[in-house]
Amino acid sequence: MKKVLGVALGVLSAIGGFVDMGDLVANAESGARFDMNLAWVVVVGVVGIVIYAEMSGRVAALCQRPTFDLVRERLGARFGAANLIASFFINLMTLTAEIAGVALAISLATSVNYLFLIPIAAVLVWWVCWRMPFGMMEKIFGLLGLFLLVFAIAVWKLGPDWNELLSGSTHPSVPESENVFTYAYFGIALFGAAMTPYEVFFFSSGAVEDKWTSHDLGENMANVLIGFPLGGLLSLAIMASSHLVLAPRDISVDQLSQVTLPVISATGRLGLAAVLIGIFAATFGAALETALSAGYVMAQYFGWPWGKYQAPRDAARFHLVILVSIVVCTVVGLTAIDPIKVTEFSIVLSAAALPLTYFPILLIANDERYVGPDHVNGKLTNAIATVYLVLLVIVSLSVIPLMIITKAGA
Amino acid sequence: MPVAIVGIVCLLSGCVQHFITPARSYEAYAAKAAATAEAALSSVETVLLIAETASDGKSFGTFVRVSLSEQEDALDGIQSGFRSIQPPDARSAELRAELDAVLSDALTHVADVRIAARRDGLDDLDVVAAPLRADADALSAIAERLT
Repeated sequence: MKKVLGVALGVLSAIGGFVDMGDLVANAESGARFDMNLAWVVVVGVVGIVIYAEMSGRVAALCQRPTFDLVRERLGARFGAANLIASFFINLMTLTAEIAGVALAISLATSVNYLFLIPIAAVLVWWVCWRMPFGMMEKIFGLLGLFLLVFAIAVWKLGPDWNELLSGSTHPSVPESENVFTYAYFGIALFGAAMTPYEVFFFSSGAVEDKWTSHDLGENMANVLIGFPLGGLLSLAIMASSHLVLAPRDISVDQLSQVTLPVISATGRLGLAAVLIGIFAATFGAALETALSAGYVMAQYFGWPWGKYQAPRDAARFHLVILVSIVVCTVVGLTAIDPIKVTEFSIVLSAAALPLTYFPILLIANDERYVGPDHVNGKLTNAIATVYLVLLVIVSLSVIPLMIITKAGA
Repeated sequence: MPVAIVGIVCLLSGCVQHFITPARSYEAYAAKAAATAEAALSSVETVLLIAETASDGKSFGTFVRVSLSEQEDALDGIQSGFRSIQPPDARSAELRAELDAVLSDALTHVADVRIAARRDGLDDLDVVAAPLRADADALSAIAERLT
């Protein structure tokens, strides 16, 4: 019974923790500009993260070592360094966006200017990273993130033509007001939002933090096979709500407050309160994940002691990297840089760096020396993962040209 | 390393609001005017939606005040950005005058809504916001004409 409860909690946390600032902005913006014509990209992205997160968790549970730690060993210091530089830079951009997202959510509830709240949000993020046990942190913010289910409730209450929604999702086309380049650019943004690298770094490091073993492979499967797809449904709900309310009014998403308007229209004050709690939890949880991921990748590459399961004095450099990352991102946020634009750039650049992250995972998950002969990838997993790897390379090569052609989606 | 630094600077500059490049022909200027009109239309429609939901009792004061201020700042930035573009010829100057007048009206009306929200409460915000419907229609017409 305890095991079942544990799995259930893990699944619920995975659902609530799936959405972050990037998903909020990308899905809302896509729904407003492209209706449901990019819904298929969310599905593709979710399948991809399920495949690779399962591999990542399996490797961590069987080796008791996280992915990034194994990358340098398996592929060499140079590849590891390239992965580290790309991942760390993107992590910092994402962390800046998430801390700003926390501040914006609080600002919308309190009317205090979000710039005053950025340092407070940063201190809270650091304090939770420093003091709160890992499992508690995961569960609390994952479960609070379930308040974002209000988007699904809003879609239902808006009473859409379900046939039209389904038709738009399954028969995608480029709207007349857009062109194929902006369509592709936003498709890549959605894909990058679904498969952000910090998720697998955090997922695999978290498996070690939680002391997973081969007995936890079932929980790993449940989290990714149930939790992530349901989280993907949440992303689609955000897109659909935006399509139903913002698109008919020619509203494009430039502020976080606009993301909440469909919920307010459909559900009123209760929905507004729920969505603000959900956004706070989602962005705070993502800020924790990216801050910890910054520490994980740096410490694992250089072989420093790491992890919240260790006393801080035993993993001082790990905690120092987290602290410095939070400080740097806070300073950047305080320059009043547009947090929505930072979010957009972080998810698009994540897409550019995806092959660096996912290729090693595929390699290691097929290596008997790490996972044992009984737990290497099956043929189906390898087939799907290889197709995705090709897709990731195409996406990675397309990002910068599309960014230039579309002027970052303008 | 220098290439990487240049790349990072270029990327970060894209995060700066209202990054506007010059227009060297009427066609280029008209394209920027169309983009300006669409961006302004988004802000105006957002304010209309906020006012509507506020009047229906679906929102609370702090959220309304913050989001209205955001849209007013956004619209102000859109107008500033558009004004900073040098019209390349007389025809562009006429277009500039036309769009700038609509933007100014929209900004005034958005400010009225923001002031009313803080001073008078939310109940009749949709009435205060009513003039924005004409602004939205004007912006939509300009955007359609130029695209």
